[in-house]
Amino acid sequence: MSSLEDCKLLFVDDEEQFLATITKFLRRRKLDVATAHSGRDGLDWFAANPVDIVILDIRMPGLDGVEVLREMRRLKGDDFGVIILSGHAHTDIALDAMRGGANDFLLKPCSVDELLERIDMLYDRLLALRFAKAQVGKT
Amino acid sequence: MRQYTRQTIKRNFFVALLVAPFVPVVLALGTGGYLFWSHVQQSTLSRLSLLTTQYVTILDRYLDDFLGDLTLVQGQVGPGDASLRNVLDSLHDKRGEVVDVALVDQEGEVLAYAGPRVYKGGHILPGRWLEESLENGSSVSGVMAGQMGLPHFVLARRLESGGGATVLRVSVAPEVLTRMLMASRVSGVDVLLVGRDGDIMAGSGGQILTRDRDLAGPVFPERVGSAFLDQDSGVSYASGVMRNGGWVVVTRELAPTLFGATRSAVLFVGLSVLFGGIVVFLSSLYLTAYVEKMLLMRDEEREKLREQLYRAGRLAELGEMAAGFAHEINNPLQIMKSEQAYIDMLLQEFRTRAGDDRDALKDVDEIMASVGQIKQQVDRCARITHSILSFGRAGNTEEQNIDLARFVPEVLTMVQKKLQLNNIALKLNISPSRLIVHVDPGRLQQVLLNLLNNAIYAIGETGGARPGEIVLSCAPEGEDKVRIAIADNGVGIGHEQQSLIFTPFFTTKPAGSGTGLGLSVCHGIVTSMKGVLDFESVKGQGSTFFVLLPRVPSQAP
Repeated sequence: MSSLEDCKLLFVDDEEQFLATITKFLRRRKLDVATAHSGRDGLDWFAANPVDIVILDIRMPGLDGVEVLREMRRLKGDDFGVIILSGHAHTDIALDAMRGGANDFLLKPCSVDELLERIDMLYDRLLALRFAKAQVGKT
Repeated sequence: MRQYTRQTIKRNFFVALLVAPFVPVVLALGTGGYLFWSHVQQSTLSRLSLLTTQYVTILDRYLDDFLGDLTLVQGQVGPGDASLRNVLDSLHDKRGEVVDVALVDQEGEVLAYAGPRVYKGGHILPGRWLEESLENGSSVSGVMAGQMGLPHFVLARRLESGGGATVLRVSVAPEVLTRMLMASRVSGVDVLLVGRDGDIMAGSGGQILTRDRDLAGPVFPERVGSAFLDQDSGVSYASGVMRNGGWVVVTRELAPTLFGATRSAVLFVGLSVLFGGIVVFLSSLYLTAYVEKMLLMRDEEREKLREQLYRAGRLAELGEMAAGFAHEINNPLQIMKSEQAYIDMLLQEFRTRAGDDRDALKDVDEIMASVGQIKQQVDRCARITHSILSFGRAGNTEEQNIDLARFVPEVLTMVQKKLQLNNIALKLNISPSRLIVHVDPGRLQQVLLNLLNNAIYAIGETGGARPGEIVLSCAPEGEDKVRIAIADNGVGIGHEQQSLIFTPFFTTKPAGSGTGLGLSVCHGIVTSMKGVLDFESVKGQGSTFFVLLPRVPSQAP
């Protein structure tokens, strides 16, 4: 878990209360958490700040999750991880998100522990990927 | 409203069936009756005409014969009454009806006379007989009374002698004619012999020289020689003119006789119509009842179909609505879960800080237990919403050909342990013919497991009243279907619950044991496989759920 403290998280969800709860929880665990209430806000933050993992809702007013995801991938390639956290269980939606570049898919409601576990796993993979890239860069 | 419509249809149908056959029958009867009536009338008139001709011939012969006799006796005629007495006697011997004989000259002066009265030296009133006989050689005429005071008819013949023409005149009693007509009368037909003036000379009814002209009234004077039906009196007439005397023979037949001829025909036709009518009535009654039964059956089928459609529509609507609810509820559930995790974390921290404060630790444990309960209930809600979402799921499936003889036993291994624990015997009957279906195996497995779990639950509910048994059978159904049936001897489903069983959230299990979505999810899955999920159940005896799926012909790869 300790490595997670360096991980910069961005939650994009239109449920403000969810964002408030998850923020106070994760911040108490000393995690670096940013939130955005809409796809547009999320993209703005993402473009302006370093982000390691984005936790993204699918159905949101304005830009929906898959559109946001595609834009983010366009901006920063695969230098960050994305977990979809959605109340919509449609297989089509999940497939759409995975094709758009999501790394994981979780169905609401999920336990915070499980979410953290997935974030942890993804962050490890991300770090490994970055390391590998750095090695390739050196040689 | 529908009842009324059916009654109207029934009534109209019955009336149409009853009336339709009568239209051609009435037309045929009308035409036939008219033709028959014309024929009867025509034949009656022909018969009368024939009879008339026969009477004319008979009477003419008689008179010819009589006049011939007068020619034969002319040799005996001489001046003086004595010779005429001989003539009278010889004629009387042959013809008893001769009343008197007279020999007159051209002026009507009586030259000789034999008979009951003496005319010697006097005249016999000259009449047509004198003129005609002088002119034509002979004459026949009728006399109402004459000088004798008795009705009679007269035959006269001109005799040639040296002193100029004389006329032999014979008076005859008219009864002879009446007797002749009476002797040859035909039943139902009157024959009248009518003089030139319209007086009745004789009649088959016993008439003798009467002036009762009404008897032959319609015939005279215009219609002599023709046959016709007098519409006013309903009497048919025929008539013919005799050579001798220009007398007219009239035959008449009364209408009742005419009707009599048709009576049997009318009776026969009437009976036929009555019998035909009864047959038509009975067959109309039967056909109407049959059609009504058909209508009723059709209505019932339509009603059943409507109910099925309504139920299917309602299920789909409910499914869609429930999926929408589930999406909406997942978000607050997520918040609850997050908050619960946060509370957990805070409590852990608090517990560390509390140290040895036993009361505080006890309170923390209580709160943690409470929060734990909240977590459990949130998880329960999550299970429900996830089930709903899988119910409404339309996502990609991987359909493939499945051999049920291999697939079903695999599914059964998943419930083997549970069956053993519940002490339930399982019988598997799989038809030897190859049963292939083209479906998503995961989904079919979900359906079968759900049905098996329900069966196990239903047997458990009997409380061990009888040894539990589940029979799973797979067999072909018709040409192109496969029937998978799961029969249990559990508690069965009450009649009032049977209509609700596929409704989402309907459950007979205690709160918390079931979501009430299993069967509605199965129903949705089987319907998406173009199959049918249905059941039969008797409360207290058990239920059989069966899945009908389209069968893939076994020769297909």
